[in-house]
Amino acid sequence: MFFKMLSYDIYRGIWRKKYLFLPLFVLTIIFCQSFYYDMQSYQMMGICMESGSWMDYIALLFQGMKEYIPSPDNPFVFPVMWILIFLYVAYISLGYLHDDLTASGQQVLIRSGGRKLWWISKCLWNVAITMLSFMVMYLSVTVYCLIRGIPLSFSCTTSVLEYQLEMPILSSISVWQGICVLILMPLGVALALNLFQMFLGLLIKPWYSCGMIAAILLISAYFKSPLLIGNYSMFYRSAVLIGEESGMQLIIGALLTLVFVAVAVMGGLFLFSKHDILNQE
Amino acid sequence: MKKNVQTANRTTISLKEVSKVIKKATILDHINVEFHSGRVYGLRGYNGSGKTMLLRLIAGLILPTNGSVYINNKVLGRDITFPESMGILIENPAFLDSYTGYQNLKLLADLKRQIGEEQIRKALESVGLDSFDPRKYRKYSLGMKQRLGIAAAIMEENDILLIDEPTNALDSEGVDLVKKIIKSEKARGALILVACHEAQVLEALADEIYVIEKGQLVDHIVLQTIENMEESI
Repeated sequence: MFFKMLSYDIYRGIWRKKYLFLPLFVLTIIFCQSFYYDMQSYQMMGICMESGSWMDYIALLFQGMKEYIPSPDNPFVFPVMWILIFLYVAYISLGYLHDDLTASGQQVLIRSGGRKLWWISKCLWNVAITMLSFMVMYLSVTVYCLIRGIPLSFSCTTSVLEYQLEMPILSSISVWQGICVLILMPLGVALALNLFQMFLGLLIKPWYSCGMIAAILLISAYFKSPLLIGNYSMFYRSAVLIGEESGMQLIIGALLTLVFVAVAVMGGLFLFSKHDILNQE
Repeated sequence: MKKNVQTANRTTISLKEVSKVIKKATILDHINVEFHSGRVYGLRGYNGSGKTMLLRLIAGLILPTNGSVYINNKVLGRDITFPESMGILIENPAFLDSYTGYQNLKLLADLKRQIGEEQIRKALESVGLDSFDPRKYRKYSLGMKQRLGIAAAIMEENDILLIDEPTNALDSEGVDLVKKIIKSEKARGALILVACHEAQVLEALADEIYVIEKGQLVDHIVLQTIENMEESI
C-alpha cells in the first residue's frame, strides 16, 4: 500500500508537474552562458587562458556571496542567482501537499490506513522532487559543457575560480572536497529547506511558508553565521575556500541539515496526526 | 485479496459530547448520537449548519475538540485513524484530470486491494457510467463527476457510507439512480449517512433524519418506513 501511495505522489506531484523543470533548465543555461562570456573576455584580455570545467560551472552556480560587512559605502546586494535557484526549487514543491489534501488526496488518505504513512510518503516525494530539481541543474550544466566543449571534470580550475570569484584560492580544491561542498551540501540544504517548507505548510498557508524560506535565505545571505543554514550552500563562505577558521564547516552544515530534516519530518508526523483536513484552509 | 462477502459487517458509530471549534467558531456543539448498520440516516440543515463537518468528523478527517467518536467501540483518532471500512463522498468529488473514470477508481482500489477490475466496472455501471469510456476525467460533465464520486464511495462495498449532497449536479434520472444505490447499500447492511439540504430527497431515502442547526442536533425524525413500522410492531 505504501509504495502504491508513493507512486501516486510521484505521478501526481512530479510527473504531472514536469513542465516546472523547464524554467530551471533555462535558468541554469542562462547562468552558464553568462559565466562563459566572462571567461571568454578573460581569455581575450589574456588574463586567464583556461576555459574551466564542469565543476567550475557548478561552483559559480552555487557561489552565493562573500560575507557582507555593513557600511555606508557597501550596500547589501543579495545574491540573485543563488536565491533564485533555491527559491525556485522550493517553489516547485510548494503547494502539492495542500492541493492534494483538498482534492483526490482525501480519497487516498482514507485508504492509506493512517496519517503517518501518508506523511512519510509526502516526505519521500519531497526528497525525490528536490533531488530531481538538482539533477536537472546538473544535467543543464552538462548539456551546456558538451555544446561548448568544456571538459566534464569534477576538478576545479584554480585560476578560473580566482578570476571569477575575484579572490585568491589558497589551496587547491580536491575532487572529494568539491563534491561535498558544491554538490552534496547545496542539495542537502535544499532538501532541508523544502521539507521544512512542507512542515510549515501544515501551520500556515503554502505561500507564507515559501515566504519563510525566502526569509531564511535572505537572512543567511546577510549574516554569516553557522546557525543560518543557507550559509552552507554558498561556495564563497565554505571552509574549503576561505579556510577552516572563518569558513563554514561541512560537518556542522551536515548536522544542521539533519536537524532541519528531523524537525520537519518528526514535527510533521506530530502535527499531521492532529491536522484538520478541510477543503478550504 | 479479493473480498467475497458482500454483506456489510455490523457497525455502530457513537458520538459522545462531541464539539468542534475552528478558529474560535463552534462548528459542532455537544453532539450525542448513535448510528447503526442497515439504516439510512439523513442529516438536514442549511448551508453552514455543520452537516459536512459532522461527516468529516466521522470520517476521521477532522478531530473533535471535545468528546469522542467511537466506531465499534474504538475511539477515532486514538485507537484508529480512520474507520476501517468506509466509503466517502464529501463535498465536490475530485479525481486525476488525465485519467479516465476507470483508471481513477483503479488507482484508489489498488491502495486497499480489496476489489478487482470486475467490481470497479460494476460500480461504474451501477452509477450509469460506461466503464470503458476513454474520455479523461477533465472532459466529464459535472453530473458525470458526481456519479464517479458516488462510484468511488460504493465500489469497495464498505460497512460505512458517508455521502454529502449526493444529488448535486444530477438530473432527475441521476437522482433516481442515487436513491436506488442507497437502497441497495442499505439492503447490503451498510450504515449510511446522507447529508442533504433537500428535504424531499432525504425523506425518500432515510429511515431517520437529524436536523442540524448551528452545529447542534435540534430535531430527530423517525420516518414511517416499512422497516420502522415493522420495528415498532
